[in-house]
Amino acid sequence: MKLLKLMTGSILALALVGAAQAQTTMRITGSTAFRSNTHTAIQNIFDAGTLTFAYLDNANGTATISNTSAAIFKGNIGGVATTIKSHWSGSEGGIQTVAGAPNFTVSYFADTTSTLPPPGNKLPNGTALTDSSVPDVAMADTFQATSIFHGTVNGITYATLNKQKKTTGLPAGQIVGVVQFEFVASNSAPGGLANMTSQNARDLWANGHMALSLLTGVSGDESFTVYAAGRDIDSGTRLTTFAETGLGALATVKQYEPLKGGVRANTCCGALDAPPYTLEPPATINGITEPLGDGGYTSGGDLANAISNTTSGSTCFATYLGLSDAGTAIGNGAHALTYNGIPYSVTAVQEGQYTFWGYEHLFYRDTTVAKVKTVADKLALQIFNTDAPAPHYNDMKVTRKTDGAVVTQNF
Amino acid sequence: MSVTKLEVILSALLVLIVCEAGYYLPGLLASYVQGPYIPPAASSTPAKVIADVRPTAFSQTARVQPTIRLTQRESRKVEMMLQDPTPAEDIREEELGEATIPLVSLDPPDGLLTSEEQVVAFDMLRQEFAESLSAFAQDPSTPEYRRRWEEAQQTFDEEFGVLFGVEAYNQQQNVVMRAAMQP
Repeated sequence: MKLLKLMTGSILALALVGAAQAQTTMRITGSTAFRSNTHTAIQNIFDAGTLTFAYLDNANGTATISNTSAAIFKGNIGGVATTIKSHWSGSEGGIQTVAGAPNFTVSYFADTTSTLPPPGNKLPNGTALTDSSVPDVAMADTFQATSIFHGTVNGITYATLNKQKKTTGLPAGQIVGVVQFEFVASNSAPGGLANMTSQNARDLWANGHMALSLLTGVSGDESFTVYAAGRDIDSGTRLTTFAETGLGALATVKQYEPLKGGVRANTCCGALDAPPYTLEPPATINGITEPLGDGGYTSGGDLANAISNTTSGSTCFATYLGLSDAGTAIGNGAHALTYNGIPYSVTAVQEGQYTFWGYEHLFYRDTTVAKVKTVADKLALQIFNTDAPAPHYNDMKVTRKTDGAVVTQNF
Repeated sequence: MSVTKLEVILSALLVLIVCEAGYYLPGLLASYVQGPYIPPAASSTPAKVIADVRPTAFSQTARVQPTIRLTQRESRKVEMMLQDPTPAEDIREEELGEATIPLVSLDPPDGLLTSEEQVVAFDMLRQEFAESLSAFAQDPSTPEYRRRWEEAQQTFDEEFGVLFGVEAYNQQQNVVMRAAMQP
């Protein structure tokens, strides 16, 4: 009898281990600019009728599954029980934590998080993300070559991502789409502030502030000051902006911190604290030091909220945002700026007139286990073929060799 | 001459073994196929290209000292490539542009790189430039080598501008031009 129990127990244990092994969990991080498209694609790769998910609310209480900063998806993919967890840290943070494995972890929702079928389970802002794990996949707005995190930095050697293992069907560099950006000015910015040139951007982010007259050409605007706001060094949006405008992807810049009630503003549609403004405080992110002014927002969503507030005292803020966050900010009263005189449009990007864009990449390590690679590849192709924003890679009439490089025709 | 079944099977087995060895020991095969790095040979072509003028490479020092230094071998590799990337005599000038000195091959002026991350990135670019050509350096007199040189130079110059910005790009171009004009 004892032997029978032992044998039954062993079989049960083996069955449980087998079930656990059959379960695939993929953890994804990186680009906040592309999180909306990635979340859409994730939902679309699950077998019909099997998906349940939960996601984190924002400070405004307005998060959706599209713009949330963290989520957990459960269901079957190709009949295999699969969990995908996301937490968006910024492209650079994504490359750093995936290429720098096992030195860094990202926090995710716990496996036991309660999920629901669409529209999902919205969990309160501040819900603890208790699964600290090494991420498998990074969504990135930039090539790894442009990132700080390749080679050996601060004593940590970063793997070249997708050096040997690649997703069949994607262009070189694991490109899944075209990620687009806009310059945006704060809610109460004067109507005359309508355009940002590369020269203006180099001036603004190198010095932190500039007279409005340099942007409008109106002498009466000399006493009005535009302040720079932006993202921290984990951001691919930041890196692309500085590469595109000629400041240099690795430039050390000066950005001011918009405050609301004495703390960093992360909600929209009110009024920021009055000037004088202060530079972003020094900070250290995953071992990389940001000197005074060089820091910024971790999240594009929070920055979009901040820029949607009004300012006072002949001042306003200007910043750079991914297309989705820019849309949110503009919807909340912020002002879209044209870039080098060209308004954003899908056609202007597609034809090469509007050059504030880059390629989106889905990166993983060569050592990624097969079952995770299978899910990552499926996701990559879903984005590339369907869920990337227009214009799709194959619809582009222009190309560029790297981030911020010259845009040339491809026909 | 007739071939027996056994011989066919043995031959197939041999091919399989070689393929397997190639799969599991790619380094061995690659090193055999590629051979060791060979510096560009001296060209018999008259000095038509800017790079024929020997630059004063690595004579300047960046303000921030790199945390990663190129190995002597890597530095030497770039230096040797700089000495003469000139192709064979039969290359038509209209087909290939002038070979120029890549921006990453010369140390930037003091103060151009302002953070440790920039210095590390610069060293990486220099190293990657050397590596991108080393596989094609068996015969530097070939048009293929010249083409690769030009491609790599354009790519890495552009990457320099992307990483360090327009002003740094312009300053570094001046450094390269001055080096090229030295007798």
